[in-house]
Amino acid sequence: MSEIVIQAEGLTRYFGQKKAVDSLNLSVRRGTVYGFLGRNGSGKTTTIRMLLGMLHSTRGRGALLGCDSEDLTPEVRARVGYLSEGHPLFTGMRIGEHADFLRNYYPKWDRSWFDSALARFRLDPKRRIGTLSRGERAQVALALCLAPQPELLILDDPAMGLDPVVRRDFLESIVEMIQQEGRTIFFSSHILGDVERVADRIGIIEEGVLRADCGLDTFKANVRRVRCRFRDGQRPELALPGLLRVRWLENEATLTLASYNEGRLDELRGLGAEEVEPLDAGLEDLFIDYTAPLSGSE
Amino acid sequence: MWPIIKKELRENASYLLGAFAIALFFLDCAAFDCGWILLGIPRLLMSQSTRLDPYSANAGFDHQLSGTCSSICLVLAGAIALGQVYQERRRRTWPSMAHLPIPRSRMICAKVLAGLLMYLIVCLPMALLVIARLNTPGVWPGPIYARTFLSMLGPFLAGAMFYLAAFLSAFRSARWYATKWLPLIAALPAYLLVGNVTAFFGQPLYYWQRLATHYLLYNCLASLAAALLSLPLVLWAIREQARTREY
Repeated sequence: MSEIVIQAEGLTRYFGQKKAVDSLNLSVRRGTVYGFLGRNGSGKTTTIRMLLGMLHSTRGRGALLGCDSEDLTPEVRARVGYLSEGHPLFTGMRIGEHADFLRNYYPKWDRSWFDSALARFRLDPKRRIGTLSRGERAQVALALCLAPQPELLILDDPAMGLDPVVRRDFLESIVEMIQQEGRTIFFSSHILGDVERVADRIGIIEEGVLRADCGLDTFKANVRRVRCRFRDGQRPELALPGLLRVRWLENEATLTLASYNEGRLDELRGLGAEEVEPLDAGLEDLFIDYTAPLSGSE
Repeated sequence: MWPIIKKELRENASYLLGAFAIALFFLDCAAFDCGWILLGIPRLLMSQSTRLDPYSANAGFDHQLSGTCSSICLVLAGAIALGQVYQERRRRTWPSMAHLPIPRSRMICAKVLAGLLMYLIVCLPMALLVIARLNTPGVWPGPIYARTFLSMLGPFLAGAMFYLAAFLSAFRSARWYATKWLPLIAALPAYLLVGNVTAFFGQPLYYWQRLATHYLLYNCLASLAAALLSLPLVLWAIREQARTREY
């Protein structure tokens, strides 16, 4: 059994009366690429900050690489790469100076890797950070995050604000890094297409509660869209267990079902559906159905 | 520690220049009021009275210059401390700093050292001006010893104290209406203590003959007591901040 590198047990955080994260239990094994999904304000960044020991939990505990989040030692921090939201960099420096600054603190800093990453992104180390475009900043931030050769990489919405071309390039860099054995990546994102491309496990957090934590394939197998055609004029009440969303178009309903299996199709036939057809939906569609309120019937 | 100090200086260089210009301008105003003209601008702003007080302990010494120095030091110290913390927050670079693999206490120490260095850089011309002023014949009523400069060091040291308090206050992840301001409150007695002690020890020798009845002695003792009372608060604030990586 592979080693658990990220663990959260009952992690809870209140901001005043508001519960930002509620009893979150999570374990991520070494070598996993974990996509942490959720809508804005669902508690992704709060969870990440608690895991990194930058925010105290109200209850529960988190651990990275076996070390309690509240007491992460400098040695453990050096093994964890962290890219925070918005790719913040020290704007008063040049790219090379920024790298020199960080190199002082990371014993495993790989200068040749960093130089090759800059060359790949066509960035001159003499350029000032303040003059970089948003995409270039993201690339520099990623290169700086990966140069210390971290065992665990935590990316907080890494593709935020990037155009599709830069995003794709950015993701390819991440994919390249994944290929190195033993690396674990935990990243939060809104862009489900990206998650689908790189993640092998996902967690969905909604209003601070982790509602799903499973393999990507398992999620897609369990949450399915089904199209049902009923007789003209017939629109039965579809009160099914695990029903996430229904969209009606005349006598045709498109349902999103959690805990999907073949038996669910028979249930629908039992409700009078003449035709029942499971559909292939992307992660983005399933995520929206999974996290949007049930009242989304149209 | 040096890379962080260098980074702080680099990040705050433009603000430092602004602070430097403001300090020089106000000092120019004060100096003009003492009879000095550097830029000529103060003519419109300040009265031309010399403000010499023949009855004070510092007979002959201009209180205008001393008062201006005190105010500028406080403002600059506060601005540098707040700038260091809020610039980091505004640029969202604090998470990267907090994640650096170094002990938190070392990072805070480096930031504080950088802040004090910036404070020193900004205050240096002021200090030189004050020393030059003190050396002007007729300003100081008696021979000038090294100790004489102590009384003029007061505002600068007090400013440094205020810097520490402002830095800790800005750094605390608390709310202003809750406990964020505690270090600032604790700094008040420390500020008074530094001011009074330097004023006391900087007195001309003949004032020491009446030491027991000298009001500065009682000022010193009172502010020492207040500082000792607030010491636990300061230590608590420092300890608390050294332990957390919250931002």
